[in-house]
Amino acid sequence: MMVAEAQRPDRAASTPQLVVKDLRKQFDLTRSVAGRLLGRHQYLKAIDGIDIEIARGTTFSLVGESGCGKSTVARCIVGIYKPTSGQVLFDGADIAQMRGRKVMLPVRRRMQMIFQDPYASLNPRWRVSQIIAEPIHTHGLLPDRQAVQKRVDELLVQVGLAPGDGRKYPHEFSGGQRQRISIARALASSPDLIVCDEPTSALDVSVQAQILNLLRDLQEELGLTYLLISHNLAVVAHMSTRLGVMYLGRLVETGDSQLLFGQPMHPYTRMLLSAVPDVGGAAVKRVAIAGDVPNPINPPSGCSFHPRCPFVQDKCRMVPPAPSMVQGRLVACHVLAEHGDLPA
Amino acid sequence: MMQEAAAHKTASEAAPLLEVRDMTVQFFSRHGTLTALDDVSFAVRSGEVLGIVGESGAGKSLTGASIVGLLPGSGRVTAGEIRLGEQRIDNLDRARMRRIRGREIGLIFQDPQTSLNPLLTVGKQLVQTITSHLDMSAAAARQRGIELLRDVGIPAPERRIDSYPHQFSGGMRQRVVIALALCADPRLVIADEPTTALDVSIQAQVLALLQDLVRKRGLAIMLITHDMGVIAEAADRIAVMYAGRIVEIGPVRQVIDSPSHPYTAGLMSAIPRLGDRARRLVQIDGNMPRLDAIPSGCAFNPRCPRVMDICRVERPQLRPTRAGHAACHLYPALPQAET
Repeated sequence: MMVAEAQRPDRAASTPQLVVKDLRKQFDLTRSVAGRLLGRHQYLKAIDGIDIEIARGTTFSLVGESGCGKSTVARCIVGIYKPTSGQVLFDGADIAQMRGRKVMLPVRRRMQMIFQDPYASLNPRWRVSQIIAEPIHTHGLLPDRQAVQKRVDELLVQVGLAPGDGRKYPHEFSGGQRQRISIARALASSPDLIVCDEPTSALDVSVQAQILNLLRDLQEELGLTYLLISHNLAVVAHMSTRLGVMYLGRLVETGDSQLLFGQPMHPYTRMLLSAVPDVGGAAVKRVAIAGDVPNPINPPSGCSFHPRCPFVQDKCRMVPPAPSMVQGRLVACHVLAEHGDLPA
Repeated sequence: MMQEAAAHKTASEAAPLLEVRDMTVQFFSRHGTLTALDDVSFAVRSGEVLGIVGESGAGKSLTGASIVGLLPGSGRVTAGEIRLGEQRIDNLDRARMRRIRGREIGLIFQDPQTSLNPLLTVGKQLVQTITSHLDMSAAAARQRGIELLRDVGIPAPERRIDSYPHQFSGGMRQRVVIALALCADPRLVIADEPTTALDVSIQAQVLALLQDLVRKRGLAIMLITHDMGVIAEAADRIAVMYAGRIVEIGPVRQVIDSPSHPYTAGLMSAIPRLGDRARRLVQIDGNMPRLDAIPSGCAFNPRCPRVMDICRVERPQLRPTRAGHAACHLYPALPQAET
């Protein structure tokens, strides 16, 4: 049902939960003080102009190989990094340029994050109930201790744990249960958007299934919006409404998840999908894979994928391609923009 | 024993290269004895990739480590035997085991960063490894090193051989590790999570390379991984492990598409697949038991959807199924099936 909704073009009626416009983030890598003083800066453009729109109650996923900037996007959105430029519109309000704890706090309540490593993201010295109650206290959501305790118990049950588990410490739980605790903590402030950065990468498959099912149930129940970051394309295919494929800090293809998985267009998306070892046997036509992701400090000119692209043309080496609409999705590729398809 | 060896030779060329029979590995401590591997039996033939899969703690890495005598801490093989070709290798002293390791059995580990010495050039490491196993001059070893780097697909190996590990990308570094494992022309390679630290496009390249080596060199590979996709892609047969035992072993498509053991079945339908968003993933509730609390009977019985009374009491043995073997009471012993 959610898929059908997202495919409907007339969603303009309601503002999207999150709109990211031309988001850029560069890191200054200049080592020496002299270099800094003389203005000889060396920059790493971690993300270089990203546009994303996420409708309420849907899941948008960012995929790409390590170093493509997907986690940087997530961190810019939740405010861990300050973007170099661009807008992050949460419910229509630009939060990228907001400063100060007071201004940010109401936004932070509605935006939570789940991290990859449930061992590192929970304070080992705190009891689970304390961990889950922290956002409630921070945002002053409930008046007294009893109410907080009741809410914590509720949250524990909601993520499939028992109220009694609140008295324990994180080390008494397995990886999957710890990830449930992280989810309960994220839910504590009743957020609208949850950014999930590799939520199941540290878990075994049978436990991964438990967490993915839980995330989908919660989405249906609470109408949550997810931004999912994952390198596991099967997980992404399972969870996403829409999908953005990143390469060296840029989106190369954005569109409906089923459409992209069924019929990838951008040469990089094709290569990436055909590289996924799938249990179901090769669903996607195999494409020859060559080369490594280039160094992002010194990215190739023009289209940054051109050194690995089998369809490369002269233009690709010089001009970075702007995204254009091809067969129902946005792609940044000169060849596709011109011919509407790749040469056979 | 002589008779057995002779029987092996005449049986056919399908005589296994590596044969592990009823292997039990135990760890000893003041608090008691832990049985980490229990009665593990399998075989790998030349020109074959055997995948060993399981979730963390199932004992898959330990299986690889026990074959090459690299069990951590107080771990020891306490029962069963391991044969490489005609030779029994589980009772060798350390010096002889070291000669087997590298010479007969190559090893590839997960993280290429930690399997290479960062202070030595790749060439130095190759030459050291080659000359310690083969009777070769340094110059000849260097030449062989260049050939090996070329074989594993490193461009311009004559130049790259003098580079340090950090000058290679992750995928290229794992190729160097594979070249190192192949230095002495081993017959068997044990690859423990060889692609887990790599990105998918690089992973696909490394898997293709491993398969190519199997085809060209008639190598046997034991591929240990938690990633069922990798196994589906690269293995000929797979062994599924749970709580220190093999619960199912058989041809890869058979085990993945129509698994016999309820654990394998659960595992397979827990994996999200490309192109089916609608399906709800099957969950196996609960966790794998800890080594000090393995349930009696079948270790999977508390989580098994098809548990019967007998499962709580009697430990099932590996018995023939349609195309493989499964250790499950759903498959009663057939009278003619006696191994």
